Amino acid sequence: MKRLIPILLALSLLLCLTACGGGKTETAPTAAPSGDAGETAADQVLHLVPANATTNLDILMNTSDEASLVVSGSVFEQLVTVNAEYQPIPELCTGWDVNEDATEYVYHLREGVKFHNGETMTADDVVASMNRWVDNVATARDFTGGAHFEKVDENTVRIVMPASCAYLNNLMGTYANRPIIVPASVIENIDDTGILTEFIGTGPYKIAEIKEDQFIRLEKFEDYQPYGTDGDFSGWGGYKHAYINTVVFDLISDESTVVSGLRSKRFHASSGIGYDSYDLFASDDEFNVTMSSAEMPMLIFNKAEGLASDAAFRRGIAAALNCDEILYGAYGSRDFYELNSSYMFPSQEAWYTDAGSEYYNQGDGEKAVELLKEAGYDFTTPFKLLVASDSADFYNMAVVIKSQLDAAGIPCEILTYDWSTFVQIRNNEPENYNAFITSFSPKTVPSMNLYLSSGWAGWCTDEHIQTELQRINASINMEEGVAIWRDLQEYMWSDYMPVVNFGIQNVFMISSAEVQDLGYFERITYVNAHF
Amino acid sequence: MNDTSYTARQEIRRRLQKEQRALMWRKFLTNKLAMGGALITLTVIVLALLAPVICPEGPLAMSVFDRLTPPSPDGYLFGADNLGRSVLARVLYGARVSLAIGASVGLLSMIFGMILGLYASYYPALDNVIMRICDGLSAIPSTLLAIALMAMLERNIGNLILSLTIVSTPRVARVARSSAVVVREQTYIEAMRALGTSSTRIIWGHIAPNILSGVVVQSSYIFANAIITEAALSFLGVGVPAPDPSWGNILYDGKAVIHKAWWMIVYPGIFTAATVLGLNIFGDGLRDVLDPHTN
Amino acid sequence: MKKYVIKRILTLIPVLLVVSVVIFLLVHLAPGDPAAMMLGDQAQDAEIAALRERMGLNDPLPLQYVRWLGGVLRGNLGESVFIRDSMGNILMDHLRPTLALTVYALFLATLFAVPLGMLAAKYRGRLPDSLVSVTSMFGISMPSFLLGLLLILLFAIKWKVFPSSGYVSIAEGGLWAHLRSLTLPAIALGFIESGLIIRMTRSSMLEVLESDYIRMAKAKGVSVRSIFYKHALRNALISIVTVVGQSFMVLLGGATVVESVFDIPGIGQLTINSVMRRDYQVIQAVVLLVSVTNVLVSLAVDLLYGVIDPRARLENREGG
Repeated sequence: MKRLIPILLALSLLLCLTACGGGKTETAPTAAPSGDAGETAADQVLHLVPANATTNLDILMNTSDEASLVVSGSVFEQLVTVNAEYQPIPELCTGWDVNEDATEYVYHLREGVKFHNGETMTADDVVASMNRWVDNVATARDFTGGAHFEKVDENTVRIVMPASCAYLNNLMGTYANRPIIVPASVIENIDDTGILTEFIGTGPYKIAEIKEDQFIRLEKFEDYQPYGTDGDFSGWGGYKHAYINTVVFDLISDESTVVSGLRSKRFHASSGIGYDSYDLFASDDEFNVTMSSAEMPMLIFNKAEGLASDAAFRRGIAAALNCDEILYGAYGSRDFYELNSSYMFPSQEAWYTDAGSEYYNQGDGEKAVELLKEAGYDFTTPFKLLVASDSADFYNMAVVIKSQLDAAGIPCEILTYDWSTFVQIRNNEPENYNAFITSFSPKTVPSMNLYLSSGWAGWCTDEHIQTELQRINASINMEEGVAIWRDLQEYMWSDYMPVVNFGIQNVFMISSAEVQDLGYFERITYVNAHF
Repeated sequence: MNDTSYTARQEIRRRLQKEQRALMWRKFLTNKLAMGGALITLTVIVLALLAPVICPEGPLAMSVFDRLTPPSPDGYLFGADNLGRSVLARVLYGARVSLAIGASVGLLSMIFGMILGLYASYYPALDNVIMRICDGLSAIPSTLLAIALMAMLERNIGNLILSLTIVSTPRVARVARSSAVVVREQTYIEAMRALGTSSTRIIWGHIAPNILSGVVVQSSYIFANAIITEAALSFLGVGVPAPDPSWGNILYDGKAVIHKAWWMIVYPGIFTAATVLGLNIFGDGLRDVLDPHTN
Repeated sequence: MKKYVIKRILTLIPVLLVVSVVIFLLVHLAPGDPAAMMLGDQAQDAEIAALRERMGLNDPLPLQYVRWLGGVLRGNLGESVFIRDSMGNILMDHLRPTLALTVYALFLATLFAVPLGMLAAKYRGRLPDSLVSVTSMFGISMPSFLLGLLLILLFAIKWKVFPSSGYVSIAEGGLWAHLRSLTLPAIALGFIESGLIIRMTRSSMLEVLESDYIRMAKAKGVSVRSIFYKHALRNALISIVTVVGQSFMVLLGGATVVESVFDIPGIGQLTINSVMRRDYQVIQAVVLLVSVTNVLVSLAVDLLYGVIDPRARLENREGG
C-alpha cells in the first residue's frame, strides 16, 4: 500500500501541473484595459463564435466568411462599403465622382484617419492597397480591365479604365475578396505568400492576440475616427461606436460545444448553429434569434468535361430535382428556407426576376428521363456528384438528390472527400466529376456571381453569357442592364442551365438577450453592440 | 523404411489428428465463453444477412418529410434519421458493411502477417528489414496512421480495408514471427533442413500449421478492433463514404442531432458494442481451447 | 549489459527512419492543397497556382524530404503555414489538454480497476470474480467514442450534470470547472484501459498468492488479511505499474477520437484539423513526436525488464 501512495501523489501532481500550465496561454481575458474607467458595461468581454475557425485574416486574399466576420468593417475598412440595401456608401472616402461613361472614378479621401500602428492614412496607402486588390483578384482585374489606381494628390485617388465599368463600387463593397486599406509600409513587408503578416487597419478594433484554433482577441482602437452620423449604421457601414472594449472570437469547431456554451453564457452570439438546435433557443426569453436570408445553395454543373458538358443533359438532371425535398433534407424545416428561382435575391429589388421559373423545382422524373434520352444519355454511366464531407448541409442535399435521381432510374454516385481534397478535385480535376454543391451570398451585380465566371470551377465559358455579362457591366443605365439580365436568367433556366438554384437558405444568429444592437447582415456585425 | 510401414504410419497420424480435432471441437463446444461469444456474433451476422427480408425498402430509401420521427412499434421501429431513412434498415445494412470490413481486415492481416512473420523468422536477413518496418508502422498510433492513410487514398470501402490492414498487419506479423522462431529451433526442423527439404515446404508444410492457432486467435481480436477503428474513422468523417450505411456513419449523422434523436446513437451503439464484445469473448474462448498454455 | 543497451538503441535508428519516411510520404501524397485552403472557397485557379509556386510546394518530393529531415535533425520541426507561432508552442499548447485528459483518465481507470482486480483475485472462481470478468470484458469491447456519446446522452442531455462538450482550462474556470469539463471524456477514455488493468491486477495477484513464499507465510500463521494486502499486493504492484505505464501511451493515442467527440483542443484535434487543411509541417511534427515518445517508452520498458530479469535479455536477443 505504501508504494501506491507516492504513485497516486505523483499522478495528481502531474494532473495539477498540466492543468495549471493551461493558465498561461489559454486565458481568455476577463478584463481589458479601458479608457472609460468605471464603465463596467464596456469592460465586459463580448464572446462571439464563428461557424468555422480561420486565422488567415487577410480578407483581401482569404475569401472565407469567417475571416470577414472577424475583421471586415471592424479591423479593416474599405474605400467603399454597402448599406443594408446593398447600395455602395463611402467609408474611408467622403465621396466619389464618376465621369459620364463610367471609365473614370475619383475618390476623395477622409482626412486624419489613423492606422492601428499610429500612421495617418495617405493617398499612397490607398493606392498601394487598391492595386494589391487589382493585382491579386481576377474579378477585380476583369472589371477594371487591368487598369490601376493612381494618386492625384494627398487626399485624392482615381482610376481610369479602358472600358465602361458601371459597378466598380458595388464590386468593392461586396466582393468576397475585400479591398481593405492597409498601410503601404505593411504591404512592402509581405512575404512570398502574398498574404499579410501584420493585420493593421483603420477600424474601431485592432487585433490584440491570435491563438490558432482557440481564440482571436480584439481590443478597441482608441484613435478611431467614426464617420457618418450617430445611428446611421446600416448593412456594413455607418457610424461605429465600439462600445465594448474587448471582443473575443472563440474558435470552436464543434457545434454542441457552441450550443452548451451559449446556454451557459460563456458565449454571447453565434451564427454557426445548426438548424436542429434552433428549437433549443427559439422558445427561450434569454435569447434572441435573428433570421436573415443569406445564401443560395446550388448545384453547379461541370461544363468543361464529361456528361454535364452537354446542356441537354443538364436540363434533364434539373427536371428531376425536387428542390423542396432537397432543402427540407438539409435544413429540417420550412422555416429555414424559401423556394425561389431567381438568381438575384429579393432584397435586390431592381435585379430580382422570376424569368424562367417554370424550369425550377420540377421534380419530374419522367420528364427528366425523356430529356436525357433525347440528349443521348445511356443511363449506365453514373452522374458523379462531388461533395465535401465537412459541410453537413451540402452532403445531405447530395444524398437527397441521389435518392431522387435513383428513383427516376438515373444512376448517381456521390463522391465525398474532406474539404482539402474536395477543393483540389473541384478546381483541378474536371474529368472526375459532373457537378458539385455549394452556396453563394448575395451579390449586387449579376456579373459578380462566381458561378458565372469562366475561371472558377464549373467553368461557365458560354460565349453568350460572357458577352451579356460584359454588357451588363458596361451598361451605364441600370434599366438597360436589368433588361439584359432578365433575358439572361431566362436563357440560363431554359437553355444553358449552368447551375441549378435550389432556393434561399435562411440563416440565423442566436444571441444572448444581454447583448443589445448586434447586427446581422450576412454575418454578425458587432461594432455597435453593447451590454 | 518400406512402403507399408509408411502408409501405416500415415494412417495412424491421420487418425490421431482426427481424434485431436474431435477433442478440440468438443472442448470448444463445452467452452461456455467461446460459445457465448460465437452466439452473439452469429446473431448479428444472421440479422445482417436477413436485412433485405426485414427491411425490403433498403438503407437508402428516404421520405425526407419524416425526418427524425421517434421510434414506434408501428412506424419506424428504430426511428427515422435526419433524412427520413429508417434507422433499423441502416443499422442492419450497416452491419453488413461493418462486419465485411472487419472480417476482410482480420483475414487479410492474418494472411499478410503470417507471410511476413514466417519469412522473417526463417531468413535472418529479411528479419531485420521486415521487423523494423513493422516496428516503424506500429510506432505511429493506429488511429492517426489510419486517418492519414485515408486522407491520402480515395474514400471507398476497398481503401478503408487496405488502410486498416496496413495498420493491423504488423501486430499479426510479430505474433507469427515470435511463435515461428520457437518452431524453427525445434530439432525436427533442423533435421529437415539438414536433409535438404525445400524451404518453402518447411515454412508452409511444417512451421505454418504450428503457428496457426496463435495467429487465428490474434486475428479474431483484429476483427473486433477493425470494427471499432472503422466506426471511429467513419465517425470522424474519413471512413465509409456516404450514403452507404456503416455503424460509424450512422453515429456521425447522429452526433449532429444528439439533442433531438437519441435513437440514432443508441441503436447503432448497441450493435457495435455487442458485436465487438461477442468477438472478444469468442477470441478469449478460442485462445483457451487452442492454446492452453497461455493465460 | 552495456552491449545489449547499445544494440537496443541502435535498432531504433532504422525504426525512426521508417517512421519519418512513412509520415512524410503519407502527408505529401495526399491530394489537397494548403494554398487552396489559405485562400478560401471562392479563390480562383490563377490565384491558387501563384501561391503554390511561392510556397515552394512545386519542388520535387525527395528534395522536400531531405530539407525536412535535415531540419528535424537540427531540432527544427518546421513552421506551420496556418498558425503564426513556433512549432514548440503549438505542440505544447495542444499537449496540455491531452495530457490532463490522459492523466485524469488513467487516474480514474486505476482507481476503478485495481480494487476490482483485487476483489476478483480474492474471490477467485466465485460470483464477484465472474462479475468483474464481465465488467472488464465490457470495458475492453466498448469503443471509447461510443461510450462518450452515450455518456453525453445520459449525463449531459438527460440529467444535465456535466457539460456535453468543451474544454475549460483551470485559468478560465478554476479547478472544479476544469475537472468537470474533463470528467466525461476521462471516463470514456479510461474505461477501455480499466478492463486491461483489472485483468492484469487479478492475474498478477493470483500469481503471487500461489507462490511458495506466500504459502510459507500462510503456514507460519500470518493473517490472511495481512498476506493479501501487505505481501501479495505489494509484489503484484510492479506488474500493475508496468501495465499502467504502457496504458499511458495507448491512452495518448486513443485520445484522438475522444477529443473529437468532446471538442477538446488537444493533440488529436490539432492533428485532425491539420490533416483537413493540409498543414504538412504540423502533421509531421505531431506524428513524429508521438511516435518517438512511443518508441522511447517501449525502449525504457525493455531496458527496465532487462535490468530486472536477465532472462528477458536473452529472449530479446533471440526474438530480435
